Amino acid sequence: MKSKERIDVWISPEGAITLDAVGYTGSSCEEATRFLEAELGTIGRKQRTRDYYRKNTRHQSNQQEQQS
Amino acid sequence: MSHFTTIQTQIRDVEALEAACTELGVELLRDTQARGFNHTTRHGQLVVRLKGPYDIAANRAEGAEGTAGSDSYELATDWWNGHVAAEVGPNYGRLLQLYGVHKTMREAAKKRLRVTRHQENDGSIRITLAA
Repeated sequence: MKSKERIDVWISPEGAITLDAVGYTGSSCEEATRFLEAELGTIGRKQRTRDYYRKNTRHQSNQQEQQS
Repeated sequence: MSHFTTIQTQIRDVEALEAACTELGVELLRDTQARGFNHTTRHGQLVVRLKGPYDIAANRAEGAEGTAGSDSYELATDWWNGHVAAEVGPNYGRLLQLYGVHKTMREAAKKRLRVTRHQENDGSIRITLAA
């Protein structure tokens, strides 16, 4: 895990868990939370935010910025 | 933020359940009878021995021939008169919450991640994992 990355895990009083991967770009966020998802229970819903669609690598992200 | 995932907690890790029970101030017993209404009992592979008159039995479903059984424990108890709900919340909520907390911390420790735990105002518990 890089220093800017973190995973927030909320556990409700009913035992429902929400995972939020913060500071990741691209699909690395899904890889980062996979170990928790596999162990904690059954997955309900995944919702991707805008950062998910940003590319990871530097030269690609420069091109993305010109387009967006 | 990159993505949100929602998960319904399932009990699979006995040590995490034990840690949750310890935090609740109750014992986790193995292979014994759980007390129910009117002196009835049911068997539990695991039994959460509550402070009140009834216990929670936890059992994993056995597979039919040729299939694997279930990984996760199903909970069963006697909800009569609110005794169990007073200790673990309606629908085992508080027990599931603490199981989720301890299971998350165990998985984080395996990856050598730093963990902080916060109590939120709405009754949720937030665990943050960082490098």
